[in-house]
Amino acid sequence: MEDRVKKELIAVVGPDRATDKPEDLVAYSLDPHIEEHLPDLVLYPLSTEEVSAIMKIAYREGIPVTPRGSGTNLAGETVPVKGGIVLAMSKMDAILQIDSDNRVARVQPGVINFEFQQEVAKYGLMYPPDPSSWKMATMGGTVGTNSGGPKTLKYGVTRDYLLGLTVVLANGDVLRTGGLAIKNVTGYDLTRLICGSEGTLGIVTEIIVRLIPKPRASRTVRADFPRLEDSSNAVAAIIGAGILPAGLELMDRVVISAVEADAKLGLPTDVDAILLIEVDGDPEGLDAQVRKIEKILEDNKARTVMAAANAEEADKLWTARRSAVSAMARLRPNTALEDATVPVSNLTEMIRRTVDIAKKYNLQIGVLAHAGDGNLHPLVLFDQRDKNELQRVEAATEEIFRAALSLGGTLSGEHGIGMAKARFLPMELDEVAMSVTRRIKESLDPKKILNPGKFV
Amino acid sequence: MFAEAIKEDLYSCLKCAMCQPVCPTYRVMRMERYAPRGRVQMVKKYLEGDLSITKSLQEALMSCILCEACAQACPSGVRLDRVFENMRMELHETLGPKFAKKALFAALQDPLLMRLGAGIARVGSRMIVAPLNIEWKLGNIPLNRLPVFNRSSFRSRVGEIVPAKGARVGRVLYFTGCATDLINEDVGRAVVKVLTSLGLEVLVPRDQVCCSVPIFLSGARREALPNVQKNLDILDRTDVDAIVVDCATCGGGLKKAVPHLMEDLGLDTEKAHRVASKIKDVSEVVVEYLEELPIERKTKESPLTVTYHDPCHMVRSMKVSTPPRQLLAAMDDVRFVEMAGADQCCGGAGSFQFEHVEISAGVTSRKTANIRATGAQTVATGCPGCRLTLTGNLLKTGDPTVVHTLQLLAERLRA
Ligand code: SF4
Ligand code: SF4
Repeated sequence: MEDRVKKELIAVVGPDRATDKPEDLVAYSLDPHIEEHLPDLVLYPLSTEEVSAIMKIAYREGIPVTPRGSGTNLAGETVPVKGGIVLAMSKMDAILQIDSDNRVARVQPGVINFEFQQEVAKYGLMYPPDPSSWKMATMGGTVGTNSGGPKTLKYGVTRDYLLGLTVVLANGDVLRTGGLAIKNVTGYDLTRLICGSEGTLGIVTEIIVRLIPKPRASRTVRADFPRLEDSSNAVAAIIGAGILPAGLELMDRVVISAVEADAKLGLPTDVDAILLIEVDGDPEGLDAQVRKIEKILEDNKARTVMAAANAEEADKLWTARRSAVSAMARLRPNTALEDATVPVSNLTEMIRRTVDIAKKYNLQIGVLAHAGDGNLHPLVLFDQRDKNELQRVEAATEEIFRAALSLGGTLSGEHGIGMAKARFLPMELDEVAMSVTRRIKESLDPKKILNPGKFV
Repeated sequence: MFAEAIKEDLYSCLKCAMCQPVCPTYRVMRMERYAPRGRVQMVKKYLEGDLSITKSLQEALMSCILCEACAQACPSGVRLDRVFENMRMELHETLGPKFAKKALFAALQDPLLMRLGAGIARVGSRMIVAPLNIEWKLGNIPLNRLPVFNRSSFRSRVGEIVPAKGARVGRVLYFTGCATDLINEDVGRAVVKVLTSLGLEVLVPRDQVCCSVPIFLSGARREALPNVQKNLDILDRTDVDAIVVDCATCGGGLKKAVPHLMEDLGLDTEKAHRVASKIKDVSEVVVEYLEELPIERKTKESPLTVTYHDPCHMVRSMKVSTPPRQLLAAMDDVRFVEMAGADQCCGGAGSFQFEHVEISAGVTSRKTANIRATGAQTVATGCPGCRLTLTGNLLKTGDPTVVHTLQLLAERLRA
């Protein structure tokens, strides 16, 4: 980057909110993805105006711009592969408005998902999208990746709660989409176009979301299944019975052993799967639902079924799931968390294939799943310094993607495409879809400066 | 020198940022430079030769409070505390300490010099600061809120052997730390009073020296060795049931950081571990006798509302959080209220608050807000550093006073 341009960019935000110090560039060269690349400059804007001024300069000069929240995304979305500017949105962290009467809220992109949830809870409201990274993920990041979470099955994903956005386009123009009204069909749905676009179409600087009343109670049930297919059948039967759990999580044999070795919770290590089911709603209706679920689980050959009597017991049951990723991660230096997703009816088959792939490539792979939506999280363990192992990991991941697609699924249920899966995109999108995608990108970002090297 | 075993931890970092939301400096600054993940990756890149030691890199690493919240949160078991301790040594050995720190280290290393300094400071604060009532500040603390030094060393006055009251049930060694010795003799007296009234004989070796945690955590690990070894020689004895501390920093240091230091420097760790296994916060010793506590059993019409602040080095390095709360619960005329984020750093961290004023102020303001929200009249804690920071920042009318938990207990002992 030319000095002249750098000076001009720094002048927009002032020297305290700009840096090109080597160690800062290192800190912004990475996210949980394995590849890294140094940016030339990191800027911390505080307003839509500042972002717009930055984009005008970047557009004029053709400089790449990669927006970033907390950098917890899992597919390399925020690695600045082509250098240029990292726009760190973390300091734009104000909750601008919570309107409890109309159940809408306006926030800046740097607000942390968890902190937002805590705030709206004070009004008896809930914002359902809660990715596992909710304690650090920003609202802007969850819009960029259209995040889901364990509650997706019942409540949907980020996209389903967006009412409007303020977006700075590649040329610095400010686009306002949607509004505070819950229903709005005026024009193309630009809000949803931006949601999940991973910063490739514009920089989100303000977000309007809708909120829902917080369910008054919840109950948790755990079931241990000696055979994998019985657990999938149970999942299908629960949903078939008209029950929509707020959480339906599966841990496979490998994960169960890792958790048990790490946390000693007394989990059975001789079963294929453990299911954790949470239902929420009015306390009056929940008991009947829990009884129904227990019966279905037993009918589907669960060996043990445990319903938590109170919140404390429920918390205990969830500890196993919460410690799963750490327990696995501690086994080896690196862990890749994939998110191939298949139609629910193919869940068992997909887990089986994943287990076979692990054997074939001699890798440790454990499977967690949001079972209700067929969303798998294979945890692949390795040491990135072992080149041979790294190659096997890459081959295995590709095979997992292929398996998911052949079972009618998708490359990514919730983590996104980023750089990790960009080359696989044509496997899922056909000629026409790819071409439409490219044309949308070209019309909004003709100079390809927005998060280049990702997605399209 | 960077210990080989700790280098390996850097390759376990998943770059997941689960350490980020718990980091007090990141919460204030919202920049990766001030986040544990950013710092760990800087260390990794330095060791791989991609970064060199500069003032700016030093600032990124030294603006960390070493509160250990990140190490506790890391899913991958990265020992961030030890990574940072090793890196600070690298920085220190390349760049050297700042002048002010040099003077402080010199004082902490030499008991005579320290007593001299304390004497001057005592006179200074009485003759200059107090009468003028000036609003000058050191960091975020108004000068007139800084503690006044003891008239003379607490250790030199208490005696080396304080006999148990009544029948002797055991013997403990009291490691007083500099703060109690030179500033907070009120705490020292409370500790001795409570322990002896439980039937414990209390040994207070006069020649114990500064734990040197402030020295070696700033990177001057080699410089701290003479003091560290001297203390280990004094403390390593078989005829005491426990080594009692009233300061979370001394405690965390002796229990955890000293063994780490010895190990990282490739020295014999046996003695350090032996001593470490005996280190107990005074509250841990006292709760063992909870049933027999000779405490006033009277309820008051209007109980004293007390909240408790967990010092970083107590809750994380020493893993002590329940005993002080049990003690508060045992006091009939105390109503205990838990504050939000009780285990979050107060932002003081010794000299940190004077060197990183902006970050420290941000961290402290969260703490004081949480304290005020409880409506407590008193904050109890177990660290002279936290006490200094909280006293210096709870300045509004109606703000609670700050004391050591043992002081509250000592006041309630039956005569
Ligand atoms: S939590 Fe641990 S693994 Fe994750 S970024 Fe921090 S140090 Fe690395
Ligand atoms: S020790 Fe505390 S201040 Fe330092 S990086 Fe970790 S969490 Fe942040």
